[in-house]
Amino acid sequence: MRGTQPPRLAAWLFERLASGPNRESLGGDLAEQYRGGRSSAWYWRQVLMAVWASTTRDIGGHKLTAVRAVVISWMFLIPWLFFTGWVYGSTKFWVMETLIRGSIGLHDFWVIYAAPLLITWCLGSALIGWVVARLEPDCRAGMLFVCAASQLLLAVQWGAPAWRLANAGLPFFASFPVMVNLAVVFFMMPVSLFLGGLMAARQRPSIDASDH
Amino acid sequence: MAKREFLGGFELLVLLALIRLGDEAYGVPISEAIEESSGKEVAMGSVYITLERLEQKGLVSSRLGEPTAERGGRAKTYFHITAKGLREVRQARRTLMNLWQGVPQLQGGAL
Repeated sequence: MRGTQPPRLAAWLFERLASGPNRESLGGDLAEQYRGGRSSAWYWRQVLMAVWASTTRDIGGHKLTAVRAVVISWMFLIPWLFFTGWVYGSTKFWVMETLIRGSIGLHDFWVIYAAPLLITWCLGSALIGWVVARLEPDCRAGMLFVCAASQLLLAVQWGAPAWRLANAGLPFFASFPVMVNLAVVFFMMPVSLFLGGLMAARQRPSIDASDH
Repeated sequence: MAKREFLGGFELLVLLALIRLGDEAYGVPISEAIEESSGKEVAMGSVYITLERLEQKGLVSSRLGEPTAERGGRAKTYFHITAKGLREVRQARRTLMNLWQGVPQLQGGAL
């Protein structure tokens, strides 16, 4: 049965990502319309369009801030990638000889897919999102978007070797780990950055604060 | 010829909705008026961004209403068209009518 409360996740996203001087009134309008009989799908559409509108306005109206956010994000990202890569490379053989000796599954997880490295990259990306959202609370959707988009440069760097590998006629199992790595860089790192940014956002007065 | 900024299509729709609604114009009735006239769903975020832009141009003024429970304790923002806004709408109408008359395909409601 449909309640009077708007979809929680949509309202949560709106709270954290929508911006602008009339944000509160827009949130009230959406709640009023939902209680007036609009569907959950309508509410979701409106929230996503409001967040997208906030994103484009944040970027268009704060170009210098966007540049600063990208610079800050790469100032964290580059050392993080090098440091974690160095730690991973330095400890790989020790781990192979001690922790994962005889375990094919763990070997694939640790060495073939380089999962620990990718996980730390995603965590680093989430931390960057958290920092950016804290630094730019008034236009966090736009700043998170430009930072996530700038991370796609990493995928471009990985694109050429992946393309060569895909056309080298290797069996699927040989090229699959690289494709997984590329998918993480292309998709999971930007998503992690957004999630980190969402976690950092301070809770503002809830849309339905008066109901409780 | 003097250089001046033209009203966008959506800006004109919002201003016309404001004129029709009078003192009761806030986000919900504005978007409903545009939806009823156009038959298309309107993104309320876009309505507010347009209203903010019109306010910056001095074509619209706003005032904050009282918070209500049905809106989760959030206040309405009421919008009102200014004298400058009315002039711009009249000018846009004249421009559109002049152009309309020069297009035979659009005469008589054939299209």
